[in-house]
Amino acid sequence: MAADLETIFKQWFGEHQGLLYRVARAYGNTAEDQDDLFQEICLQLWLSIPRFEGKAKVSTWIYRVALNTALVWNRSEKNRRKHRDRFITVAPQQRAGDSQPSQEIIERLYEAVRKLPKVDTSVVLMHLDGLGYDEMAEILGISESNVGVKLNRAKKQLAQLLGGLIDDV
Amino acid sequence: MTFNELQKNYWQKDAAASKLVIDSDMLIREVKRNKDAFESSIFWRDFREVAIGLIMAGVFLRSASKSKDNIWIVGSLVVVAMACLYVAVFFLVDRRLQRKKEARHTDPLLACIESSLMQVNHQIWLLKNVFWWYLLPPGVGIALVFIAINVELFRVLPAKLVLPGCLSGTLFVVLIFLGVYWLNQYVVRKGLIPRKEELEAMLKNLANGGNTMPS
Repeated sequence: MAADLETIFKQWFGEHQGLLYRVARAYGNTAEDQDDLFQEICLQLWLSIPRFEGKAKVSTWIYRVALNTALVWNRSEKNRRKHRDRFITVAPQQRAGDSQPSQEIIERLYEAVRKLPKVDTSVVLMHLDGLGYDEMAEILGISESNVGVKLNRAKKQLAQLLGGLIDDV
Repeated sequence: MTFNELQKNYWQKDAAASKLVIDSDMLIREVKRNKDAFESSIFWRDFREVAIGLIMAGVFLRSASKSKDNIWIVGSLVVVAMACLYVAVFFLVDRRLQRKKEARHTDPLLACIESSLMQVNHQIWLLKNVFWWYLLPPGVGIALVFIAINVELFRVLPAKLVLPGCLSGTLFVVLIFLGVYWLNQYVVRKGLIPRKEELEAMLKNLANGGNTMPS
């Protein structure tokens, strides 16, 4: 069972590590916080795998675990971690087309997302990642119409925080 | 630019292009270590809380059984032992009941936040009422032992010899109890109330569409 768990974890982690990293980056203010939250999400994912019943898509389910962890994550409760080196590194952009200005926009976007209320952060993150209203409603535990209301409101706040970068909200 | 352009041309492009460098074997080791540390800290926390009560109960019961003092002193020691036992059992039962209600990270966010809030509220209730369930029962027992011993001392020694010891002993015990009480209320004020407010704000936002920006 332990070996199975490890295999599943490795497979899911390999397929969805970007999602986990984006959640950690959106909720952690500093690199250390992001690293710590990333580890916490991985731990909760590991502990939750035995409860996966296959009713939801794996990506939806992992999103739920990651966002739940981020929302109830308490910065003061990280004393059990001893690993102090950076845990994650992001390799330099692989594509020739990726320019410095685009990275600046991404960083501005993350900064703005971090300033939103925590719940709105999750709504915006899921929307940016391309999740549909039905998936978002399933993850959040609210109705699709409520998701729509929240998303519109969060997008307006985000546009304000981005100071004119977006002009259609 | 439009939101869609931001989403497609920047966010999703960046998500696809970013390459994370993570040593998965190291990650597994860390996850396992964190899991062990987490389970161990829970076990030792429970053990500490319950074991202290049980050990104190044993110590006082043993003192009572060995005591050649009068019936009041022996009886008071038994009362303290029972009070310590009660505190240990209270901890044990409370932990078991609360563990069943713990937030599950596989639940929808709304349910997870509700469970977390319930736990924080329970913790606040426990610490706010620490006097009634933690301090008072052994306190009554200790007071009885103290009175019984001092009545005996007053009977055989002059009051001017007994009184200073009696007063300083009382003051010492009262200060310890006040210290424990103050510490618990401090944790409620500084740690739990802000956490409760944060969770309530999230819940309000999620359930009713509240519109508060964090400060």
